[in-house]
Amino acid sequence: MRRCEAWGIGSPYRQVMRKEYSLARRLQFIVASLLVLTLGIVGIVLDHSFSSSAEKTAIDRLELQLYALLSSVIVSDKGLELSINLTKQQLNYINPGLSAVLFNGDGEAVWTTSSIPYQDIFLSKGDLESPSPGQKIVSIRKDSIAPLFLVSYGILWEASGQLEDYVVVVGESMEAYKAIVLSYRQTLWGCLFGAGLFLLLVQIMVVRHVLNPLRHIVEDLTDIQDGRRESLSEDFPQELSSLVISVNDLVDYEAKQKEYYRNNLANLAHSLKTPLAVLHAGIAESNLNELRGEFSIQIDRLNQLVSYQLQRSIIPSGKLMSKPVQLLTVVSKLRRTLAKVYASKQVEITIDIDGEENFYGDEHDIYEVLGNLMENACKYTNARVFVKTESTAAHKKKKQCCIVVEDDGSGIPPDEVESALSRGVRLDSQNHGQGIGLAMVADLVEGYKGEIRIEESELGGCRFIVVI
Amino acid sequence: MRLLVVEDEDFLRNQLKLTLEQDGYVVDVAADGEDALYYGREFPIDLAIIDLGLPKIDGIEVIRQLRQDGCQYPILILTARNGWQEKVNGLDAGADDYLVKPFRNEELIARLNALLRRSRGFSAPQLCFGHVILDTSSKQVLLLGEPVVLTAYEYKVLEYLIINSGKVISKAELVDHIYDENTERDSNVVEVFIRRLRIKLDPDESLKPIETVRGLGYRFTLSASDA
Repeated sequence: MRRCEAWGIGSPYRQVMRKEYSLARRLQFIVASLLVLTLGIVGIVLDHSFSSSAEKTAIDRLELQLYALLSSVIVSDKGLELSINLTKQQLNYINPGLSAVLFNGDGEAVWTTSSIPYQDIFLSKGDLESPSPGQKIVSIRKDSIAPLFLVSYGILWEASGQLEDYVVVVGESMEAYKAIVLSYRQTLWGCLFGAGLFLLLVQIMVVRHVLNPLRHIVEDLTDIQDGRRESLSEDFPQELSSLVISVNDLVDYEAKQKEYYRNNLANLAHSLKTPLAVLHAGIAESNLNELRGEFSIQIDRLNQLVSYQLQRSIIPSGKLMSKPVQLLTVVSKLRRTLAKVYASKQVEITIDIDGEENFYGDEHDIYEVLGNLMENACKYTNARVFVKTESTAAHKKKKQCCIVVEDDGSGIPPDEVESALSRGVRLDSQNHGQGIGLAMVADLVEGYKGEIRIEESELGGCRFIVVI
Repeated sequence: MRLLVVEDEDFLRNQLKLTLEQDGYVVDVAADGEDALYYGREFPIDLAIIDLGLPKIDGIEVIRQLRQDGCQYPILILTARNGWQEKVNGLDAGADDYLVKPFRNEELIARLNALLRRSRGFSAPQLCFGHVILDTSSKQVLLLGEPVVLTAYEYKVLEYLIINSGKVISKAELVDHIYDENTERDSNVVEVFIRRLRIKLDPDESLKPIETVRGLGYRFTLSASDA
């Protein structure tokens, strides 16, 4: 009963399900966060690189303008004064929004484009760093009301045998640059937002698709609970196959256990009826003293029946939910126990089992199997009992072990070997309580899909070989 | 031989006391773990029969504590559970044998006789001392192959002396082991029992099986021999 409750798919299971987080939501949240983060970083990087590249382009162009201006410098009639042989129209043709000033060594503007936008800023000399001849200074004035790109270039001009300092300053409003960047920015973020939305949708669909098998399992489980199904369908992805197999094993185990209880209860009830009928009939007899012997037999029978059914009340769960039980510990404890019980017989029990050898299953089951086998050996031996393991690599791979229990007694006649392992047979009625021991062992071994054989031992007695 | 029976089921406890007393044992009874510990520690017990499912203190714990306190006498477990794990736990705690309920009285007596003999170093149920044979299973004494007619108390005295053969047993110790706590005691009666035993076992005074050690007690003098 206890085992059924442990994994029963009842209402507590459903409550637990409701309290847990949703796998899909968790997955979607993580992927969406990653998506936003990634697209955000990509956007910022692209935006930044585009701005710098546009900025560089604007300055490059400005420098070209500057060289074009220089190539059109002419010496004025006044001797040392330079002028630029370009009209504003010409300049505008090259680049609208472009302004230029030529300063002489004293800082006076000797030539300007006829109208200079934001003249104050452009011409406020204090702000302008004067380049020495041959030096080029690039500055970007983003802080002012009218942001500008500025390139100033110092030149030394020889006229009439004298050298004069001049500075050419070319400026361009940042409006055009800003307009390009803004338009790029709008396109970029629009595209990224669209892509993000698309990826989110795809992601939701992928998660739903990937988690679909899990939803099918839940549906199948509900069907099993409602009796519409007997097991989960085997059509599941590789990753879930072991889960599906385990669940099916559990469901199968429960079904078997139910069937088993039903049959056993019916068997028990029927088998108890005969002794009860005898006792009942006996009560009517006037001379109870004569019936003492008969009563005793029937009570023994009732006792045997109850013991047998009690021991068989839980069928072994096999390797399901099994944890390793160290064989050496179990056998050593049983040896200590049997040494006391059979102290008068002075049985010598030799153990040859590796400390790392394990039994995978219920501890109670292995105690029953080995307890019964070892007691049986102690009972029939002359002096020596051997318990050892002979597990092969194939056994270990299947999480099985091969245990051998042998004694130097008189052994079992070949024609009785089979009946020794079938239920309720007592080979030696003088040995109390032995009727069901070996049958129990056979039942348990069968429950573990194991194997039990009885051979003749070289020592003369029995050699029980159990693979479990 | 003085036994302690610890069993919480009244009917079974009384039944056991009756059966064991009829079989010549002195029986003290306890109904729970606390009483069991008290009797087990304070009384000169030769063997304890302890049920595992007890009120107040569990049977296994009682056994463990008795052993911790240095009680050496054999302990037989009674249990309704017949799984090997329970048997192993019981015997690991310090018990010497187990009996699964329900059991036949004959089996219980056979087991406790075996335990008593084993605790004194005898293995066969018949203890042979030359011409004198004590059969612990049939509770008979044979002299030269002929049964000797003894009263229940005479048998108890002789059995205790024989099982402790070679040791000096005081009158008080004999009284402790042939009477339970509720019986009125008279240590002078022991002298009467000893005198009668000497007459019955050694009519011509040639064997002198029971020796009086002045001021100390009595000693069974014959030495063990093979049957």
